[in-house]
Amino acid sequence: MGASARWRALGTSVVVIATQPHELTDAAARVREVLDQVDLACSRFRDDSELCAVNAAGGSRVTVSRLFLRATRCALRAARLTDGDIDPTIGSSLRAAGYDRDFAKLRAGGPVRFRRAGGWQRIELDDARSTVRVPAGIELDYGATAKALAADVAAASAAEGLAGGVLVSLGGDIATAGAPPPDGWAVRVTDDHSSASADAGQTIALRSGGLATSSTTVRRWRRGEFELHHILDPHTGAPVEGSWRTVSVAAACCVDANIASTAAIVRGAQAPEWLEELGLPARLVALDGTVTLAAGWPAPELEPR
Amino acid sequence: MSPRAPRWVSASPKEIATRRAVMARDAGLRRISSVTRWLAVGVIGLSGALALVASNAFHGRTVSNASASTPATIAPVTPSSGGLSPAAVTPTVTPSAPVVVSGGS
Repeated sequence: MGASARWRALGTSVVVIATQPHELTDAAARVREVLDQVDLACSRFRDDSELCAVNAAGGSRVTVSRLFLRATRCALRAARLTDGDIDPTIGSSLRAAGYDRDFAKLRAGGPVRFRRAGGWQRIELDDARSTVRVPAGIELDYGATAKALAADVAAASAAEGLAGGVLVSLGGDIATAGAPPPDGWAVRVTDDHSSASADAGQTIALRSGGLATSSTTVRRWRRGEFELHHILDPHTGAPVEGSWRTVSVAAACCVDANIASTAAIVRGAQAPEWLEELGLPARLVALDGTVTLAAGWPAPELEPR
Repeated sequence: MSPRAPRWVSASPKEIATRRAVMARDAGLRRISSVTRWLAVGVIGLSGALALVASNAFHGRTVSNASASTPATIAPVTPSSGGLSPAAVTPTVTPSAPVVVSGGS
């Protein structure tokens, strides 16, 4: 199925697949360019990023790039559509919980505090002046949306003007653009995107849009007596202890899929009904491995646990 | 018809003094009126200049009134502000070998 390129960026693995092998080099170059721009705009761990500049502005307005404006709009939309189950002001909560540097450099131990999100309604975005302001003491983190947005933008950019289709995966958040392979993109859905493709899960054919998986089984660390993971409930600032360990969602784009999969983890038992109402095909894996399917997600002949 | 003789010729010294006083008063009033006009023009010009200086020295500040349920966006969040959208084609089961893995990261 075409040709692929793999590397690391945005703190995770990148996979680019082009259905036309001779178009891979161009596609991968465009993806690299987009990821560099997104990293410079939205990284919480780069002192020179726009996000860090906004966080450090002490409540002043900061003039930002069009890309950062777009990422901010995307994060605000996620918050609005999930009633705050996804909140871009979760940055201070993550810092309080100990996730204060790139995950690969995270230290064990140290104090842990749970601090609720600052409140996404307090973000001020001025499109006309290209400025963003957050009150002093509130820290932005676009981790729940920026990677998916990067996948969508990168896939669209990579496929522009090419004859074939392109798939971009950023840590398992997948966006597609252009004509898919005849049988669709075969994607293994499982707990951890870095696991072997034979691990427990399901293989599906994706023909359009995006696919995202959120899981509490990855990015875990220990602080004192607590074992933590990166999906925090914005309402409490504590790691979610809900019904699901992993949720995969297919949607029109990777951003929508990722918003739904992350919010489903936070929502817990109400998530399947919510996903049914939205018509978003989803696969939800409970803490004990039991699988629940919603909104037309295809049933496997035998669902492994 | 003989030309009419100027009246001052026949005016008494007292009348002449009175007329001179009136002429002097009228000239003074004209000067005062002129000064007043120039003062008015000057004040208006100076006010405009001061307003220009002040507007450049102290920039305006937009006050956002954040509500409890909506973000304080000054411009609309659209066009990507609609609801979450399903894919055009629902995924299906496939026997093919996977080309990529979707999982937590």
